[in-house]
Amino acid sequence: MRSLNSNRQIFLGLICTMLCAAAPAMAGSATTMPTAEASSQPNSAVSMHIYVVAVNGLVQARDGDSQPWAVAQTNMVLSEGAELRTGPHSSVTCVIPPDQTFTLDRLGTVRVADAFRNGNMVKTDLLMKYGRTHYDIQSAGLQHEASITSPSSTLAVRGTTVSLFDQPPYVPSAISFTGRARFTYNHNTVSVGTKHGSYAKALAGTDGSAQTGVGDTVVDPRYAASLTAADSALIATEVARGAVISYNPILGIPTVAGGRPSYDSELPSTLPGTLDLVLRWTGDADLNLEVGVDIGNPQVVFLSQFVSNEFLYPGNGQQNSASGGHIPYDDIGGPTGGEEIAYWLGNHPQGLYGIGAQFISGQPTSYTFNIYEYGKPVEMFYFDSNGDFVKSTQMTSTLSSGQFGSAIAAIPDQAYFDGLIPNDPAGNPNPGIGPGSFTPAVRALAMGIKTPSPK
Amino acid sequence: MLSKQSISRIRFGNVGLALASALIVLSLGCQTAVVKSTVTNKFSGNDTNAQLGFWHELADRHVTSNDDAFHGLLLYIDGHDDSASYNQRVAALQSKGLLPASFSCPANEAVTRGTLAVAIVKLLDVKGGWVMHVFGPTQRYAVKEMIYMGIYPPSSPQQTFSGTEFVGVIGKIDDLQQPVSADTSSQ
Repeated sequence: MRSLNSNRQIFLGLICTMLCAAAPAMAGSATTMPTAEASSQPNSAVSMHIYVVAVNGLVQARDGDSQPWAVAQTNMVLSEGAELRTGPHSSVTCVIPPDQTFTLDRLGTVRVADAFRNGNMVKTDLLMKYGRTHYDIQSAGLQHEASITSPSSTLAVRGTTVSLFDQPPYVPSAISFTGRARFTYNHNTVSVGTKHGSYAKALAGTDGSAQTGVGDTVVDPRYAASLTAADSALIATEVARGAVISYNPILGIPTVAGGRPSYDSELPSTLPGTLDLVLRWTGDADLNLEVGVDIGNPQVVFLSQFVSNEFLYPGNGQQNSASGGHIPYDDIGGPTGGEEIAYWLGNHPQGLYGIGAQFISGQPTSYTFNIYEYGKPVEMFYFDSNGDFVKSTQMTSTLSSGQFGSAIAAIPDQAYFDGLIPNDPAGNPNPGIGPGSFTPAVRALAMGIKTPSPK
Repeated sequence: MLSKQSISRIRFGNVGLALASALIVLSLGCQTAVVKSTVTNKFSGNDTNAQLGFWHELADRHVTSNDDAFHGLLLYIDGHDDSASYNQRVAALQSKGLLPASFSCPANEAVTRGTLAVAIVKLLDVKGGWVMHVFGPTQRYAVKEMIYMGIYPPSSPQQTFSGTEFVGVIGKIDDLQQPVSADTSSQ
């Protein structure tokens, strides 16, 4: 009985050995991925295969240094030691059965240095020369010892979803999307993410994801809670007129598109500050408001020529000035023009203020300047179309590509200047903006009325 | 105690030393780096092997030459570079408005970050700040804009790029221009 059992065991062992011997050859020609790649025999390291499952753009692969590069294709089977490289706009995704997936992103190169299974232990090591690799381990009942190693850092992974980026001239960074990974850089190891946790990112050289998170912190100005009451009211007014609010992360300022400028009759009631400088325009163009302040006694600084102590511009961190000046948003215009404002709440410096309109893009347009101090219009001084230096509480002119419109004003208003400089022959105030400022079609658009297209 | 004469000698001696140092720097140290052979000469084709060979060979070079940088830009923008020579490459980029018409640097000279920054600013249609609006994308402010956008590390316009840095910059531009896959979108 015992001999019969032992014979059966020997027979079954032979069958198993034959199947194992045949497996690599079968895998080499397979186009479908097996569910379990390696032998489950304990204490015998078995090399694992790598299956290319997605190729996007220019991707090449080879099975070792001595092999020539070949164009990578879906269902391609590679072995331990394989190397992959990608071009611009490209990526390649590979699977190491049963539970590991990695993606090499654009312009990177990675080598699968180790990929073997020893019993229940799976060891994988990806050597990334440069680029960005995303690595996902589902940890399906196996014990993983996996890592992505780059020239300057190592990311050790155990059953998690991570990404390592290492590409000069940038600081290497590790991201954990789920679970915890260990990120080593310059002999310093930090944890990235937590068990069952969510997104965490660590930059090399930091104390971990907490310090990186603080460094990356920004308050998105689109959220009402991050806006001041004055800015919220202004943006709400723009939205009520059909504008769309967005955020320009490069300029670092909320942007307003569409809508229309305030009419003359509406403007005074919408002003938020004790000092408000307003640029409005009616054409399909993008203008930017610029404000310069020469702080001091207006009559003194007027004689000593204009020197800008403070400057306000919508974006690039220049939307706030030291004395409290603020531009809440960048209006990028639309078919019915736009409006930008700079304002001070509470105290504002006395001095000579310069207000400017910069033409960014679009069609030539009419524009209007207004300055209000404590709700009262302030006289502005500028050169009219005849080249005469004149004054008006509302300046209207036209602007086209490459041009810049400007005026100056004394704050507080100086009766001396007002008496010295003549009124603008075009009127003081100049004609401003009202419903009649737009052509009928544009006016209909401004009012939200669709006009039938001409037949 | 030092006499007036010795103090004067020390001061003028320092000035003389500074002048001598400046002359040495001017005569030796401020020359633009050049490369002996460009990667473009080795991988000038448009097939996958040539393109990937170009990018990954360039990543191993210490300096990126004008020829390599412009070939890389054309490959990145168009997916191919049909120029047969460096002059044609320059003309192709000039026709796209990415290089100034007055550009005349030799092929094997190291590309400057300023030259590349102006091309990137135009490629990405970066509006920039008020200085760029007024004066256009000059090298100085284009570099500043690149630094602000995180495409360049803190740099000066006269610096150059190593090969791997150039590849990294192109990758960063790719990230900005392409819809990044969901798994890496958070970067």
